[in-house]
Amino acid sequence: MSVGLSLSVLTAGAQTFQEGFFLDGYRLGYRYNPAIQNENAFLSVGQFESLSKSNVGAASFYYPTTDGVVTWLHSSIPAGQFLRTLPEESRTSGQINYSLFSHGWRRDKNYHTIEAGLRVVYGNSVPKEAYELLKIGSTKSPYDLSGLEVEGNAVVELAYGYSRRISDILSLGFRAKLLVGVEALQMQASQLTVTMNEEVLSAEIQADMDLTSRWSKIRSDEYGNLNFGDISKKDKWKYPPGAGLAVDLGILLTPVEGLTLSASVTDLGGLLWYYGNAGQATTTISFEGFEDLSVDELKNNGIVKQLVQMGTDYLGNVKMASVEKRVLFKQIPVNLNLGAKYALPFYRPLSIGATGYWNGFGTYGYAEGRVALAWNPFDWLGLTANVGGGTYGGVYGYALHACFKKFRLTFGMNNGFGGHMPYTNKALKPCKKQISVGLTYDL
Amino acid sequence: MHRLSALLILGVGLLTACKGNMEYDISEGYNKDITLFQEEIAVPIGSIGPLTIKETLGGLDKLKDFAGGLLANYLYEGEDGTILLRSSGDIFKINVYELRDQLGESNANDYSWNAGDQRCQLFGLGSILTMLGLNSVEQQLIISGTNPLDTRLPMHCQVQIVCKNKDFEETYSQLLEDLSNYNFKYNYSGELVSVMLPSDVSDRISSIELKQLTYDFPANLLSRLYSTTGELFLDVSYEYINGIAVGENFKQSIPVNAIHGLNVPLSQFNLHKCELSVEVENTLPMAVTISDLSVLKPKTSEDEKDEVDENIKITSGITIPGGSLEKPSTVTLHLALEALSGCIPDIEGIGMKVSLAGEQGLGFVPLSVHQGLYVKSSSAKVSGGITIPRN
Repeated sequence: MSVGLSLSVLTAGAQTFQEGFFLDGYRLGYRYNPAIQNENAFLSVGQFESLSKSNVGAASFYYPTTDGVVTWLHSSIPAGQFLRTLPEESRTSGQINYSLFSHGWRRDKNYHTIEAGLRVVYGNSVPKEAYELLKIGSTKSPYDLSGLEVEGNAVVELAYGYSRRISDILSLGFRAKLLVGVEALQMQASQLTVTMNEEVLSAEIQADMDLTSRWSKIRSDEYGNLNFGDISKKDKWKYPPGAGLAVDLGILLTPVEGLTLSASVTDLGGLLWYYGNAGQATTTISFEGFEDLSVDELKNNGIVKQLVQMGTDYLGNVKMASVEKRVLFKQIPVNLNLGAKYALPFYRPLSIGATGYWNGFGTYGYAEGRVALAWNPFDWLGLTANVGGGTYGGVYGYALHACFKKFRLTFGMNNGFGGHMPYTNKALKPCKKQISVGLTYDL
Repeated sequence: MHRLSALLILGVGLLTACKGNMEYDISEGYNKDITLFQEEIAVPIGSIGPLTIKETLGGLDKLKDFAGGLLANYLYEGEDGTILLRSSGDIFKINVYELRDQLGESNANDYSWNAGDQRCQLFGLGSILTMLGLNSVEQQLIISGTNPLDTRLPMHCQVQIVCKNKDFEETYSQLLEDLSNYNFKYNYSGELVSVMLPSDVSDRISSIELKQLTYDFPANLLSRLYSTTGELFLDVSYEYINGIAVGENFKQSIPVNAIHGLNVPLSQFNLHKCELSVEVENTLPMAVTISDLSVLKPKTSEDEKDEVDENIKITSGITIPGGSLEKPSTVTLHLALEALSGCIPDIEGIGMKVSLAGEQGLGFVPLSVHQGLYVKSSSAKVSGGITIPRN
C-alpha cells in the first residue's frame, strides 16, 4: 500500500459567508470566525450553502449571434477570440454544505457550539491546450494536456467550537472539526501529450485513478488491468474510507465602541483517504498511417471507417493497471478572513465595513476584498450589501436576515459582476458565487 | 404588517435582479453545430497498395482487353511475372509418306535429300507492337525438330534470322551454324537450338529461313519409322518468345475521361480545402500523367453529359515519372481540392485525362505484371475546419 500527498484542484471556500459578519441577528457567525459569540443559545436545523468558483465564465463558451446563440466550436467564432478568454488552466469547483444540526449555548464568558453536517465537493481542471487542440487543430502540435483532472468527495463534518471573551475588547475562539470521509474519486492525467501532424497521431498518457468506495471493489482481469464491468459488492463495511481533522482559529477585537475587527483562519487541516480502487494507465498510443491499404478497403468511405475502427481499437487498448491501494493525504484549502465594521455613531443601526478573504493553497488561490454597508434597524430585520474586487474581477453581495417569533431566516448571496445566462445558474464571467440559506431558532 | 411589506419589496427586487442577460438565452434551444480544427488538421493515412498490373488490373486478362485483337492471343505471363509475347509455328514440315513419294526410288539406298530453302514469315505482331509504341526485348528463338525414325538422322542447314523495322527495312540479321551438322537422335522431338538475340535488337524477327535444309536419310525410310502409329512428320519448328518493353518513344492515352460512382460524402463536413500529400513509387517503365482533373457535377440521368463543377478547384495535373522493378522512381505529389466559394460538395465523379509516356533515359524496360504504383506514404491536411454532422 502506498502513501502519498495529493494536492487538490478543489479550491471552493468552505463556509465563508462574509455577509453574516454584518448581520446582527445572524447566529452562525462562528463559522466565519470562531471567536464570534451570540448572546443567546440557538438551534439550527437545516442550513444550506452552495458555493461555486470558476476562473472561466459561460461567455467563453456561448456567443450570441444574429442566428441565435452558438457555442465556442461554431465555425463563426474565430479561434483567437475564444482562446483569449481562457486562462492557462480552466478550473471549476463547487461545494454544497448542508448542516444537519447545530447548537450553540453560552456559559458565562464562553460560548460553545456543536455542529454536524455534510460537505460535498467537486471540481475539474482543463488545460487551455485541450481547447486549443479542438479549436485550432494540428497547427500547434504537440499539445500538453497534463493536469487534466476530475475530482470529487463527500465528507461528514462533526465540529465543536469554543469562544472565550478574554476581556471587554478581545475574544478568542477555535473550532475543532472531525472529518469523516464518505466517498472520494480522483482522476488525473499527470502526463498527456498529444501530437498531430502528417506523420503521426500519438498520445502519451500517464493517468491515475483513485476511488475509495468501501462498498464495492473493481476487480482486475487476468492481465492485472481494472475491469470496470466486474465490480464486487460488499455487504458491510467497518471503517469509513477517509478521516481527518481541521481546525478554525479566530480573534475578535472591539477596541472602541462600535468598531469590530475580525481575523480568522478556517479549515486548517486535511483528510487521509484510503483509495481501495486505484489504477494507473501508462501508455503511448501512436498511429503512423495504415499499412498497405488495398483498393477495396478505400472504396465506399473505407478510409473513414478504418479510421473510426482504428480509434475504437486504440482507445480500447488504454487499460488502467490495478495498482496497490493508495492512502493519500489531501489538504483542505484554507481560508483567511479579515473583517472590520463600524457602527456609525450618529445612527448605530447603520454600519460600514470591509472584508478581505483568501482561499486556497500554493499558487491556486483566490482573494477578494469588499466594502460593505449594513442596516440592522430592528432585532427582526437586517440587511447588508457589499461590493468589491477579487481575483476574477468585480464582486458584490447582499444578505437579508429576518426574524419571526424566534425563527431567524437568513438568505445571502454573493456573486461576480458580469451577469448570467437566463434561467440557468451559469455566470457569464469568471466568478465565485455563493448562496446561503438557513433557519435558526433562538432558545 | 411592516415586516411583511419590507420583505415583499426585497423579494421583488431580488427576483428582478435574477433575470439574466437575455442575449444568452438558450432556454428554447441554441445552435449546436460543431466545427473542429478550424485552422487545419493533418493526419497520416499510410501506405496504399501496391497497385500492380496483376493485383489491380486483374493481371493479364485486363491487359489483353486493352491490347485487343491479335495481340491478346499471344500475351502470357512468364514465371517471374514478365509479360511475354509467344508465337510458334512450323518452318518446315513433311509427312513421311509424302516424303517417301518425293524420294522415290532414290531411297533404296542411303540418300541425302535437299529440301531447299525453307522460310517462314513472322509479321503482324511486330506491326501491332510498333503501332502501340512498344518494343521487343529479351528475344529468344527456339528451333525445335522432330525425327520420327528409329535411327539417328543427320541434318544440315544454316538458320538465317532477319529482323525488320516498321518500314520493313532489315535492321538485324544473324546466321546460325548450330544446325550445319546436326545429328537428330532417334525418335526425337524437341529443342534443337536456342538463341537470344542481342539486347540492342529491338525490332522483332520477321523471318526465319533454313538455308539448304538437307537430311541424310537411311535406305527404306518407311521401314525405319520408330512407330507407325506415332509421330509421322518430319519437321523443324520455332517458338519465338519476347518481352514487351516500353521505349522512350512510347506514348499512349488511356481512354478514361471520367470516373463516376465515387460517392464521396464530403458536403456534410463543410470542408473548404483538402490537401493530399502522397509519396509514390513507380515501377512501371512509363511516366503516368493525369491531367485536366476536374470534379464533375452529379448527373440526374445516365444520358446527361458530364458537366464540370467550376466552383471546385483541383490540382491541374500530376506526373509520376517512370521507373523499373530494380530502380523504382519516387516522387512526392501534392494534390489540392478547394471550394472557391462555399464548401466542397459530395463528389460523385471526377474527370481526367490519363496518358502514358516512355521515361527518358531508362532504355527498354520489360513490362511485368508485378510493376505498378505504390503509395509509400500519404497524409491529408484539411484547412478551415471539419464540421461534425449532427446525425
